[in-house]
Amino acid sequence: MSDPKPAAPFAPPKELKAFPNDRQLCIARFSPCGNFLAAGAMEGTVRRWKVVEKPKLTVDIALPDETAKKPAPKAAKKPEESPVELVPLPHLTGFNGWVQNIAFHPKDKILFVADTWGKLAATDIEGDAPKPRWENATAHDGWIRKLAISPDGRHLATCGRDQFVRIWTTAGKLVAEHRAEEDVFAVTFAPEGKVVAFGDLKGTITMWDFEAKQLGRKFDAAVLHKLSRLQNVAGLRVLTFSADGKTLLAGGCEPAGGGFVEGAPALLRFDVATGKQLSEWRFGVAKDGFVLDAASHPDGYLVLVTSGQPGSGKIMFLRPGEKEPFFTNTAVANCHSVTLHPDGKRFAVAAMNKASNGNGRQLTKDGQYLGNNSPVHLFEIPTAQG
Amino acid sequence: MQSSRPTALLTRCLLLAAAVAGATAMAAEPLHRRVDQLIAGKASVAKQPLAPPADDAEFLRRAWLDFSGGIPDAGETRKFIADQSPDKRAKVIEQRMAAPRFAEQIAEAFHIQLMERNGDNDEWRRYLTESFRANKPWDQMAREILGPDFKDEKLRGAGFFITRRLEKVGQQDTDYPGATRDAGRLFMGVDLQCCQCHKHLTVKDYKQVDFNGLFVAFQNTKLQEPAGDYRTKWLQEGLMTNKYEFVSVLSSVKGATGPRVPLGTEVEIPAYSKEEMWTVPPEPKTRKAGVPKFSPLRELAARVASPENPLFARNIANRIWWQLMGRGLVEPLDLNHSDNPPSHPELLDLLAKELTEHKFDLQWLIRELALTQTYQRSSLLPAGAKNPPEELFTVAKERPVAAEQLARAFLAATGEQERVAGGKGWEGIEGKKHTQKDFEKAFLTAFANAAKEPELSVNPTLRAALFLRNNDLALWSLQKRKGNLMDRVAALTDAAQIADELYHAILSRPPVAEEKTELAKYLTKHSANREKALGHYAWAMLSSMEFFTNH
Amino acid sequence: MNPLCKPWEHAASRRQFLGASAGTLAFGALGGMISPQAAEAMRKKEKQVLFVWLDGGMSQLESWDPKPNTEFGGPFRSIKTTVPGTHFSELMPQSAKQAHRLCVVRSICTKDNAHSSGVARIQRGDPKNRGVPYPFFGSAIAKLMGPTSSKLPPYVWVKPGSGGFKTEDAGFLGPKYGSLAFGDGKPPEDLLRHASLTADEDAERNELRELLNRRYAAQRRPTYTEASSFVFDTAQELMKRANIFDTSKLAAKELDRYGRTEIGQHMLVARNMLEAGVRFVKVGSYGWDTHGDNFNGSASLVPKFDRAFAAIVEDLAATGLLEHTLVIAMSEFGRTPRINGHVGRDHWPEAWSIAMAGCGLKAGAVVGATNDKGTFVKDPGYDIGAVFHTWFQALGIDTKKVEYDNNGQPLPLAHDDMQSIKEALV
Repeated sequence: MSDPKPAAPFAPPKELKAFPNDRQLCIARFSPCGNFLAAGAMEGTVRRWKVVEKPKLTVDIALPDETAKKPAPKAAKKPEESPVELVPLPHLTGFNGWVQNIAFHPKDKILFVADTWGKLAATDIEGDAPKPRWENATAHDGWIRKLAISPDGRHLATCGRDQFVRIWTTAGKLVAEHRAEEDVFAVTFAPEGKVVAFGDLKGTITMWDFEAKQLGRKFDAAVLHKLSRLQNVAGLRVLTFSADGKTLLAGGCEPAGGGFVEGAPALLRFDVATGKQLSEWRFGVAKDGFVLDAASHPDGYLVLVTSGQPGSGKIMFLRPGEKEPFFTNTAVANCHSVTLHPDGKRFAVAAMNKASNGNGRQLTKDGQYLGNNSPVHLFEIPTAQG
Repeated sequence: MQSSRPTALLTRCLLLAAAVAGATAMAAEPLHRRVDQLIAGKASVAKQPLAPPADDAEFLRRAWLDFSGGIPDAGETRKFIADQSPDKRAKVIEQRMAAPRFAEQIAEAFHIQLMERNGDNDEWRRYLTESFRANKPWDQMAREILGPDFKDEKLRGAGFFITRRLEKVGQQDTDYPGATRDAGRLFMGVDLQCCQCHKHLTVKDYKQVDFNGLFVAFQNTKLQEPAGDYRTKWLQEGLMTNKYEFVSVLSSVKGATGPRVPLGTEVEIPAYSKEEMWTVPPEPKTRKAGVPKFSPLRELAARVASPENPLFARNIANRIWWQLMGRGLVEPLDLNHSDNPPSHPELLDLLAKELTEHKFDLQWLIRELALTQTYQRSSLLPAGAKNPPEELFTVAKERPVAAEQLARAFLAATGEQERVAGGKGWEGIEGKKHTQKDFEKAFLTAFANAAKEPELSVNPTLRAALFLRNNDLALWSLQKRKGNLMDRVAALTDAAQIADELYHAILSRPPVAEEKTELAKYLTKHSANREKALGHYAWAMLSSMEFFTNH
Repeated sequence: MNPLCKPWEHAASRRQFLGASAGTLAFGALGGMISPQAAEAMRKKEKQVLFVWLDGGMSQLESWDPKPNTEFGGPFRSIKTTVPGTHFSELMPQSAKQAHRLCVVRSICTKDNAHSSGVARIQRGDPKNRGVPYPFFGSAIAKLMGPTSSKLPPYVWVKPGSGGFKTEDAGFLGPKYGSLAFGDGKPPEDLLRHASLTADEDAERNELRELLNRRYAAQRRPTYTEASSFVFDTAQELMKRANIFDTSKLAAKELDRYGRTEIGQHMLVARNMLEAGVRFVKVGSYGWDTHGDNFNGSASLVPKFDRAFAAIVEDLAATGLLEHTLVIAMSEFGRTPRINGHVGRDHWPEAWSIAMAGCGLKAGAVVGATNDKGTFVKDPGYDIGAVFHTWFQALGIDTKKVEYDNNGQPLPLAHDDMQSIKEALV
């Protein structure tokens, strides 16, 4: 399961606890202060939790040797007591369809929310009924597929099924817009915050200097698209720059076919200066689906999550220079989102419940039609041992 | 002239001959004469005139198609017409049946009839051909087909009849009911399908137990892939210790049966002790299934294909009759029952009885039927006959020519058979060589029925029409090429000669005066483009009903 | 010479070869007995069918029966249609503009949740089991109504993939009631006149063939020769109208309207076929089995269908053909309200929708409803048997009076215990 590299001795992360939830989630994010976790649901709400460290009642005197000998802990095996609890806070409401995207301001305590009906909004974080700051119900015509915030906290970027990419100030003022040729699936800011990269249905990724209003380099990620019979299967889901801005990563699925949507999770790495593709990873086989989310760990590796046919999914740690992930967890399936706690020691994964599929009737004992839900799995990354 | 004039002398001679030969005491005359008497008798009661004998050319073509699976070439036809000997027809029948091609032709006809275009297989074809070459009795063949021995190299091909039907198609259940139905239809002439779930609603003879008695034997098998001693797919029989229980969905009446001959008797399931049950006991460790001593399939095969089972002989007699006359004495072929009597009850009784006494010698039956006036009658309606009922057999009925035969006839007529068969000396279409197999495949696609659809009568289809009109292979044969028909006629200048060549080659007969005149006129009109025009003329002949049917 | 009888003298017997049961329908029976002009006028009133089959199962929630902002409603909005109070998914903007012509049944409740059995089961109308495979709707219509006076084959299937003569649809009716399939919208093999022939040459050699046949048939029973002439005539008609099937000749403007997609192109071919008088045109589309990524899948698939479907409904209405043409769009089932871990929807026969229009149906109607969450039908709902009764009824075929005759076995046209959907019929 784990693949420790001699250069950096690594103890596999372990699952602390899975926090149940009555709805399916699209996205989960820790606040930069580390005190909150927010999640966008497959309904018009934002779910919130307060992150509470439990005081340690006993001193953990487990011997390091013993820990090392233990078989790699299965994430499914839940410890009785978690040192950290997620205490639910009231939902944020007033959104429609699904809340597929949320983003915290890097410094100020503001949460930005985008739904699938085109609404973009900003709200305070704390309290039972945080104060809305502003909202734009028609930021896009329909589904906002991605929301990104610039590292300096000045701008928001959104893109949607209406083919538009839009740049807003974090106060909600439209700064620039560009109409792409296709449905736009992902957008991200380059580190300096003046340029975004957006990627569309067909796997074309374009740099856009929104201040100069100039389109720049294009990257070819067409392997992330396939016309399967009638269906244009869009594979691209994630775009992210390296911290130095020199490389661009595009994650998603290399589709094999539509309908079921089979395809291997894939990650492409491009050289920003030349546009050349540097490397490509394929994480598994056709049933494994998509890389749906990625988080950059301060230690320089990526935490990736995948979701495919019900029951398949992975959490992977990957160093961009290496061929294979150095850690893969398959115990939690259908991972839809991952977020790193700012302390770098914990991360949370929103994943769908087990046995989530099936044809025909599935009723509860009292005759209710059964829906699915997404527990939030909280993991701890053990401190490296000598 | 030869309609019905039995001479007393001949009758006496034959009686004597039969007695000497040790044939049954009842055999008054050769079968073919008694057949003609029965047909003539009924026609005369119905006041329907009998058609005269077919002319030489029509007879010769018919005999070739039936016994050699192709058409005679121009030389054969001319020779036969010129032959003055009075017994030339009997001689042709004898020659055609003695030729090696005969066994292949009968095998092909049986293949088409038994498999109904639902798959083909080399071993199966070899089994049929070798069996007919050896003139294996039909009851023996039926036993080998219905109760196959998959370990015998020479016999295992026979198993295809069942194994093919039990192959899974997509996600459907194994079609045991389909195999049951076909066994009943094709070997006993009874379609029991409707009795699977309840008694037959329209046929009072067919009961639910008739279906299920046959069904149990098939359902007791499992199709296995080739492995070890088994070179083909094979059937593993299960252990049968109890009767099969069924319920009518209409009346909810319950029933139970062991293996049972439809409309016949049940096979007792032996009460073996645990030790006695197995020829080869199962090996639980290796999970190897055992071979039970009691084989319902073989037991049923022996009882179905038996002189004791009247429907077995009647079915094959009716089917051979259909094969040569174009219509069964019982129609539909697979609805033999008391409320659906044969058109000529005595005749079917006679054929079944004689065939049984001749130990199911099909060659004998085929020869006898081929010698009848009924078989040799013209397909032209006799003067004064208005739409005579088919079931009186007063006129030869047009019969379908199987796709395989059409392919051969087409190549023979256009003079391309050798080139295609040999694969030498020609470039094909767009540089691609086309083999005999390609032609057969193309003709099968165009002319054969869909799988499981019996080919019982002449069936012009849109697909076939489009094929003849526009297909590359079909039209390729009509281009002038060294030594082929178009080459031969292009070398001729006299229109009458051209007509003679074309009609002999394609329609296996000389042209009539009107046809010669017509062709001469046509050629004059197209003198500027004579070669192409001749191709069109040949095409029209090849696409005509006269070529398309066995008349 | 003995010229072959005039065609109309044998109209009934000839038609048997393509399947009209004589006397079932007035126009079928009148066949060749009227002048060409009158025939043309009559043809315009001859009933026709367009059957759009979305294989794999289109999601009802992302099309005809949206439940926005509910637990299983998905990410999409619903939009207003031309029928006040009726909403479709935002993925169907064009069909929303045709809603006043449509008749949508939202309470379809069928039994089979597997493709392998369901596709055939639904298309055969899922009658009571009588031990024989029932015909698909197209084959049923080919049998019951035969070709129109256009002489074109009565059952044509425009589909992706392979073409040719598809017999399996016909069930117990026998292969001649199968469909003539245009694979990838292209005509079947050998349909187009061979490159080595001019039209004149082709016509002349065909006349020669007829001449030979007449002479041959002069003293024989006419049946087979007539059948042969009939199929050669049909071949001729098809070849003459090859332009209908030639997708390279479709007008760019129209293609844009129908969508430059597989289904758009096929729907346009279908319209041309209906205009040319094909009795029953089936348009097939595959790949609707969105077990994974259903919403992005639907966002790609549904609008392509929407555009093509709305365009053909609009065109049929504009030419007046809609009045006599029964239009149907459906799948073998709907999709589960529940959204699975792959963000897909699975198979759901319990509560789904069928859209129809035209001939004999109420325009602008929405029949039946699902509950607020879209999980189940509110009333008992309609099984496919009831839908088959409705279709036959809409085409003027009384399922109480007409039945099949399978070699003496009388068989009802549709499920005996079910009845047509009254609210859907005019």
